[in-house]
Amino acid sequence: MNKPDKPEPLLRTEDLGKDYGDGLGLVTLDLTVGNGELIMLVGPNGAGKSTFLGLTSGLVEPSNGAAYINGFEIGTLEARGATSFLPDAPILYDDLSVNEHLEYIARLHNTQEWEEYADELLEMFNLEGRADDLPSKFSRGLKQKTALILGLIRPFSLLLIDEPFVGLDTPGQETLVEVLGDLVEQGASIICSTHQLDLVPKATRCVGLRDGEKSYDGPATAVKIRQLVGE
Amino acid sequence: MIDVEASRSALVELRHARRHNHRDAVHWIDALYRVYISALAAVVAVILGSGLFGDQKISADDAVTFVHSATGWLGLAFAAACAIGLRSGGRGGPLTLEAPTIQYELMAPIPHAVSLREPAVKQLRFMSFTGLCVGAVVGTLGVRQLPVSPAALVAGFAVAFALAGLLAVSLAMIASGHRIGKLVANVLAAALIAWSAIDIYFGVTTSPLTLIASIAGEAITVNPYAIIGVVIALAAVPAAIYGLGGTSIDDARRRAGLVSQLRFAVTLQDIRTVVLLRRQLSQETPRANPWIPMKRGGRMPPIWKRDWRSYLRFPITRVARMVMLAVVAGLALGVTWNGTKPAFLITALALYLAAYDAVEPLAQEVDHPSRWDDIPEDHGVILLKHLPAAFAVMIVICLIAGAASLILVPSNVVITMLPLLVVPVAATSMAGAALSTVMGSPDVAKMMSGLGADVMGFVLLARLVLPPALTVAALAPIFTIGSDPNNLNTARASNLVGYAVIAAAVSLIYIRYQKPDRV
Repeated sequence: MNKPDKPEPLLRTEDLGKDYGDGLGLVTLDLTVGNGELIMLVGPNGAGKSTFLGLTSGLVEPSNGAAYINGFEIGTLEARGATSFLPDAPILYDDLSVNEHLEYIARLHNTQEWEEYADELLEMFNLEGRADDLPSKFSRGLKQKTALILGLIRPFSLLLIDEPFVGLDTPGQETLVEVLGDLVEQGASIICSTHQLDLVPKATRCVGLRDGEKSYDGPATAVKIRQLVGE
Repeated sequence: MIDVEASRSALVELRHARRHNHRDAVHWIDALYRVYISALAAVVAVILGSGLFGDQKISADDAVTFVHSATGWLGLAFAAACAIGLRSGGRGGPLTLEAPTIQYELMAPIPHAVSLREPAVKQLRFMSFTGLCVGAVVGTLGVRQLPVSPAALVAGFAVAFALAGLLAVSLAMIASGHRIGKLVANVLAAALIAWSAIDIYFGVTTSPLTLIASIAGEAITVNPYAIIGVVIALAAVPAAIYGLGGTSIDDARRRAGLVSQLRFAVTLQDIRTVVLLRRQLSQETPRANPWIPMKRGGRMPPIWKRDWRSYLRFPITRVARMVMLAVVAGLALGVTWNGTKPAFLITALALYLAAYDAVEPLAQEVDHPSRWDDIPEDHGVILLKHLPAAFAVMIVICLIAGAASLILVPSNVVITMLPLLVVPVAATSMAGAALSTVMGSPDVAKMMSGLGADVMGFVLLARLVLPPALTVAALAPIFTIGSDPNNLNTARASNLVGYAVIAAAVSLIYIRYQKPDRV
């Protein structure tokens, strides 16, 4: 597919929705995301956050509407190459070590000089001692760290993360906040479904969802996030 | 910058490395053991099958007549296999990918048609090889009776079955790759079966599946048009592989989770979980609105009413499956009456499977032990109270089977045997399915420590075989009535029915003393 002529935002969704048949995952959502944004996606359970992230990643097929990454429709090679998605539950092969996972994913995405960056990520998340172990035998927290590293090892313009802080220890949470901040500074955009208030200082924007529709789109503040979650 | 070629070669190389790792992880003793078990199963099948079919050589003319009629039925069986493939394709099958494969390989900048090619080829290869082996075993069964070169006969069957396997999987892949949807897939599946049935009715060979089936009999009678079937089966393969890019990721994700659970449940012999997962896989959910609403209140016993509320929410696919199983059971009875005695096992199995659906309300109770425990009545009695409705459903199923058997059995035989068999067969099928459901999955750890590995194997086998054996026992009287439609020996049949009823009663006593898992 050719790149569209006019400049396109990094992410643009138009009337995006998903009907699972037994209840709406997402009714409709229009959203535009530019480069260098860190968006906190907030809402009560069942609001449609995971569905939205799945739709934007191309792992969930929309029932209505469309979404574009840099002007390319989701699911196309270009969109897949630009989008990294980390679902809420870590998804890992049973038969590959952490290092083998890293090589596999980095090379699938044709990542150049990934080895050094892989070592850096392993060190950042304190996994350097476990790099040759099978992550399928890890605890929930270590699996989560492995999945995070896998999401970061490959090139992307848009990082979609679903509840990344769940299961992480405090140092892991702090590292993640730092890494996400650094990525945004480097020009990547991140949409992170979380209620973690530690991320608020780094966030450039907050999008609230309720009952499958957008309920808020504005600055991220602790008060607003609590309000959106319904605390 | 997307470099598809680099990603593609990385995919190929890394998959190769994974396969290599996987091969290294399999010990050669384990591999040999698997081969040994498969060979043993094939030998046992051939020995048992040969015994059932006898070894008297038939004349060349009789062989031609046999091939002529058998080709149609074999074509129907192949059509059924292809129909299953189409139905699976309509729901996103037959490929079953690991969740990480979807997450990382299908999300990588590589065309899906490329990523999916290897698993697709693997599945096509496996199914055609399985078909080849099954065909060879089936062909071997006819070697002693048919007056032809054994090698040619076995080869003919092997090729026919391999092509049918290949076509079934290819059709499934075409259906999922082109997202033809459940409705269209079901219509096409029905059309394929109908076409083969029409071939049988008119004694012609027009359906592609009948043409493929005719290859099995090439050693006896040559059908030059069989080549059309071969071409269709082989042409479907590239069509399947190159159309894979359109496979739905939604479906792939759904299947990835369910199929791994399904395999685990099969390993554990947890039949109830297998049933539930299979329903999820085929998206078979209860109807939002019942076929006929039942009013609140009234004096109907609550469990009886709850059970009918469950039946009235059965989806059309489940109802259709139960009716189809009843028809299959009836037709198999007809085939049994006409001389192919092993076919009565198909009757028993079909009725047992239908009974599994009939005991659904009881299964719901077992699935929710805390709710079951909460009812202020003896646990086992609650389960027994679920059985009358299941029995009523099975009576209807058995009557449908009886009606279907009229196609192949003289009406006076059906009219004589139906009153004798319908109640015991319905009762034993229901009791068997209820027994299997209530037993749940075996506690392997407990059995291992209590019984030891050797005895445990027999116990596991008994758990699997006993419930359907009840239906088999109830059907046994059909072998005692003789073969003369005008002189049926119903007295001996009645005696045998008594034993089946006793077996069903013992099952009910077992069910009576069951308790919820978490009491």
